[in-house]
Amino acid sequence: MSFAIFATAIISAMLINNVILMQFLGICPFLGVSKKSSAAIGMSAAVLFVMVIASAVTYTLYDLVLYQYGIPYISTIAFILVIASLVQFVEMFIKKTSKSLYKSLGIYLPLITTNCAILGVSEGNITNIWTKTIPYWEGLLIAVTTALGTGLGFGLIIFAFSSIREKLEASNVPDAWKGVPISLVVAGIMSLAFLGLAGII
Amino acid sequence: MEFLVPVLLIGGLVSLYIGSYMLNKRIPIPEECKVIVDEEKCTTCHISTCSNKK
Amino acid sequence: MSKKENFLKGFLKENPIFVFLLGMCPALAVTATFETSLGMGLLVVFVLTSSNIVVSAVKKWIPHDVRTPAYIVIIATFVTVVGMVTEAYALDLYLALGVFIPLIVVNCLILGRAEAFASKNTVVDSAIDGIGMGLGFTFALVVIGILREFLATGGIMYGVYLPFFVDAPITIFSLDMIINLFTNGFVISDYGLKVFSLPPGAFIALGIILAVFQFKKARKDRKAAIAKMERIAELKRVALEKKKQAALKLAKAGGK
Repeated sequence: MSFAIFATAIISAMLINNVILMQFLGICPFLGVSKKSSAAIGMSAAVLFVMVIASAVTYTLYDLVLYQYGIPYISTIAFILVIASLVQFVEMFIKKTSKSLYKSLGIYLPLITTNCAILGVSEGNITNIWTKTIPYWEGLLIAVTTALGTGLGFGLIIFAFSSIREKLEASNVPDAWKGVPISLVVAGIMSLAFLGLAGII
Repeated sequence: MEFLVPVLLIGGLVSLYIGSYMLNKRIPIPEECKVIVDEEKCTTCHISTCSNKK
Repeated sequence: MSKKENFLKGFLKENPIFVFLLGMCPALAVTATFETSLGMGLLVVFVLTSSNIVVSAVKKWIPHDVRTPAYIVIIATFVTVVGMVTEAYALDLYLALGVFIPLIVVNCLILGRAEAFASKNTVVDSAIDGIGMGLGFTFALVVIGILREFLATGGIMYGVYLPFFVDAPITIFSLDMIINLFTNGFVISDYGLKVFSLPPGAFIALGIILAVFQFKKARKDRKAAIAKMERIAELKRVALEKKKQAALKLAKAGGK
C-alpha cells in the first residue's frame, strides 16, 4: 500500500471517470442548481460532505456486517436507508449549530437523498474496490479517497457549468434550443474534452 | 435463527430512518431560510411535487 | 379522467423524460444501444407498477408524516427483487446496466408518481398510471437508444443483451442492406459516428431530441396564440356590427 494508490484513485475519480460527464450521476442538480454560481458552490459542498461520510459508512456496513453474515443481497435497501438517515442527522446537526451554515449548505441537504451520485458512489465502491481478500482499513481508505475525488469532480463540473450558464443567458440562442437542450449540448462538448484526459494516468 | 439477521437489520435501519426523520421534522427551519428552501426545492428535481402543491 | 386517457398521458403529453425531465441519469447512461434501453425501461415499468399498487393499497395505514421513508422502503424492496430476477434470467443485461439497477431506487419518476398519484388514487387507477408512465419512460429511452445506436453503427441489433425469442443475435435493420444493392462489400459500421456510443454522444443526442420537442411545442403555442387573436378579432367585429345595427334602429325610431 503506497501513496500512489491514493493519488491514482483521486485523479481517476475526479477527472477521468468524472461523475457527471462520464458516469451520468447527479444530472438533476447539474441541470437544476447550476443556474447560479453561489447555489452551485453550496450544493457541491453539501454533496462532497455527505458523499465522503456515506461511502465510509456504507463500506463499513458492507464489509463488517452484510458480508460477514452472508446477506450482501440486501445492500440496496440497507444503503439507501443509511444514506437517508445520515442526511437527516447531518441536516439536524447543522440546523441546531449554525444558522449561516444552514443557509449556505443545509438547504440543499433534503435534495441529496434522491441524488443518484451518493448511492452510485457507494454501490460503485463495492463493485470496484471491495474484494474478499482486501484488508478492511485499506479498502476503507481507498473508498473514502474515491468519494473525495468524486465529490471534487462534481463540484468542479457544476461550478464550471454555472459560469458557462451565466454566459449562455446573455447570448442569442435559437428558440428551440433555449434552456435544457443547449445545456445538454454544452455538457456534451465538455464531456468530449474530458474524454481526452483518459491518457493522463 | 440465521434468517432473523436480515429481518432485524432492515427493521433496525427503517426505525433509525423514521426516527431521524421525525426528529429532524420537529426542529423548525430558521425563519429567514424558509423562502430559499421552497425556492430551491422547486428549481431542482422536485418539480412534480412542487407543481402539485400550488 | 378516463382510464384510456390515464394510460396514454405518459407517452407524449406528460412524458417523464421529454416533458418533465425526470430520470435523466438512466436516460443518458444506459441508452448506448436499443436493447439496453428497452431492458432498463421494462425494469422501470415493473418497479413503478408494483410500487404504485402497493402504495395505493396501504395509503390508509401510512401516517402522513413518515410517507417519504415508507415509499423509499417499498421502492427499494421491488428494486432488489428486479435486480435478482435480471441477474438470474438475463445476466448480460445485468452486467451492462451495472450500478443503474440499484439506482432505480432514487429515480425521481418513481418517488414522484408515488407521492403525486398513487397516494391519492385507487389501486386500479394507480396500476394503470404506473404501466402508462412506465411505458412512456420506456418509449423515451428506446427513441434515444435507437437514435444513438443507429448513428454509431448504422443498424439496430437484437439478442445481445436480451436473450429472449432469438437463439443468436440478429440485425433488425441495417443500412448495409440498402447500400449493398448498389455496391459490393460495403460495411457501414466502419463509417459510423462512434462518438454517439460514448458519453459525449449521449448528451448531444438527448439535446437534439429535446430541441425537436421544444420546437414543436413552440410552433403549437404560436398557432394557438394566432387562433386566439383571430377569435378575439372576430368577436370584436360581431360586437361592432351589433352596435351599428342598434344605432341604426335607434336612428330609425328617432326618425319616426
